[in-house]
Amino acid sequence: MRQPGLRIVPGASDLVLKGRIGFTAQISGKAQISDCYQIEFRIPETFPRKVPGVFETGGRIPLSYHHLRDGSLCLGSETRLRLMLSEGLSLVGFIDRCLIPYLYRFSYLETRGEPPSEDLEHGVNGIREDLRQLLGAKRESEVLPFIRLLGMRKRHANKERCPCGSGDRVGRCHNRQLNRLRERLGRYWFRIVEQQLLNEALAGKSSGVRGPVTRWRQRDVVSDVLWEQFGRTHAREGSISQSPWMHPMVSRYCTLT
Amino acid sequence: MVGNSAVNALLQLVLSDIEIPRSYYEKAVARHRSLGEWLCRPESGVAAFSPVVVPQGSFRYGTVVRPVVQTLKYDLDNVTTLQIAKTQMSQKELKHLYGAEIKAYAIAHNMTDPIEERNRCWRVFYADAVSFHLDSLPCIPEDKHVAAAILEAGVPAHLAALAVAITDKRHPHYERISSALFSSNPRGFADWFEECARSWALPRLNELVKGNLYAAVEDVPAYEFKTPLQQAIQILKRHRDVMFLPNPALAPISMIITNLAARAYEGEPDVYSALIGIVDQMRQFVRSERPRVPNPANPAEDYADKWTLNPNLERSFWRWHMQVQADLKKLATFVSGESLRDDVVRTFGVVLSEEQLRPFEVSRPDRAPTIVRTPVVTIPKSAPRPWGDRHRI
Repeated sequence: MRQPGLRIVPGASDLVLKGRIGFTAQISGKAQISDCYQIEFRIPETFPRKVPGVFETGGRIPLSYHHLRDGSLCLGSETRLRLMLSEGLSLVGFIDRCLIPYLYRFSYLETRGEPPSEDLEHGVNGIREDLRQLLGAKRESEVLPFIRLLGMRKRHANKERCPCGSGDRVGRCHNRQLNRLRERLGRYWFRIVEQQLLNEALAGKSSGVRGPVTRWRQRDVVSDVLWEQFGRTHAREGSISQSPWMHPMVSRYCTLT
Repeated sequence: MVGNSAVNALLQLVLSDIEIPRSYYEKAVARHRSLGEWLCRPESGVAAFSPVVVPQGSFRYGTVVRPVVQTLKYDLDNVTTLQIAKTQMSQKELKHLYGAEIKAYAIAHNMTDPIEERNRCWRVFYADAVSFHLDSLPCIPEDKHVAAAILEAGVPAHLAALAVAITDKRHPHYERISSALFSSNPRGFADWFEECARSWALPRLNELVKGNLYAAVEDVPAYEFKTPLQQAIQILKRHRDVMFLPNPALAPISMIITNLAARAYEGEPDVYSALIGIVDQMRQFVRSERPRVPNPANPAEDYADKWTLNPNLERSFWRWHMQVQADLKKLATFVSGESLRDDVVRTFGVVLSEEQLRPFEVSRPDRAPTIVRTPVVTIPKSAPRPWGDRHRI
């Protein structure tokens, strides 16, 4: 049992787990830290397709430190979190790979006065940098064209020229990396990301890009859109009894043990 | 990890705290008898219908648990069978004929709170030191063809014969004479449960009979012999009560827990292995189609019928199941005395004294804090990095 301090809080909708998260963690070359926090998880029925909301309830982490507008902890960029969950990450895996790194960074900062490594830059610049790393792109200018291709159907995207500058069409160049990402998260997700990047660019300094001028705010806006997208898909795919909370046999993603 | 004997010793401490005194069971028996005598008195409005009062529920099964909150009342149940044909009167007339007698009983016994009409039964509030309320269910014998259909569904004849027709305020024909009453079999379920429990309690039953406390094995009430099955049900019910204390409306009902536990129990010799076995197996007895949790004495009767109307109830059941499974596994992993005491409070709402905890501390000399024992998580470079507001501490 990895996190015996967590308990289910009975409620009507999302699964709520509350309790103490204890950990011992280390980043290579940095100090090992043992610590514990009071945490509340709000896990939607669409988990692992939707990222759980994570709240620190002990009042230790100030709101000024990487929180989202709804008060939940900002563990990382939504695309990276969703990508990790799409690998079949269980709740315990989510805690180990997404939450503990966050808590470790805060504990490190709290005791040593500096983060163990650079956080992502605030706002769209951080997102762009994170996407560049995920895509394995050399330059940030390649990110938006790649994202646009990810939002297209595979057969259409493969005919486009690859943004990496090789001169080949995508089908003969970066098709495998792009197909893998598109299969994991779906092209609708990348259309949302593209819209975010376009909106931010329009609201900022860049010119020459077209798109609606609705300023992208924070992750929960994206989540709302996704809820619409995937909530509907989920409802179409199965009846209530097919939900992982109804059927213990399919609840492999969420177990307390 | 500690052996099962230590966990069993711990569970026995919990059981001794949540168990009610024997006198409560005896009081319950006396109350059922008193109501039976009242209904059969010559001037009773239902005496002509040969009323037979049979105790039901956890007091009969020996699975009562002390309420988590002291202000909550103990729930007594009984079934009163009246020899009336379905077409003799409407459900409403039958319910109120019986209700008039129950009201008179409450007045004659100086009960200050008025009786309360429920969908299927009458609720009587006793006014003495122990807070009881009695749910009394009037019913009439079921038609022979219905009993035959239950028999055909594979229910033993002696249980099928106990099927009854009940009144229900929500029935569309409640106010008019009709033979389409809801069918139920609470007495059949109680007999089925007692058979399950008795089959694992023969040594104890024989002991009681040899000691001349009872004339025959069949006469021994369920509360006199406690099998690991009944103890496991008590533990499960207490776990449920504690977990759903903030939201009791969503708690899985006792009948579902009792039914599933009795089906899942395979004769494990101690309460901990019984709990592990029951919780592991019980999920397979929840059907994917209606009836989701059938009454073994009447397969058409669904104890989980409310799950269809309110899916949150089913969700809550599975969440409780997930939590109880995790908590039972955790019991076998004692970390430290402090943690054990907190765990028992959190899980069962029972506060153990230092003295009660001492035997468990002896078996655990290493009392290091929990966080040191967790495996080291190596954070890779690809781990997500926070990107919200910059840190400003």
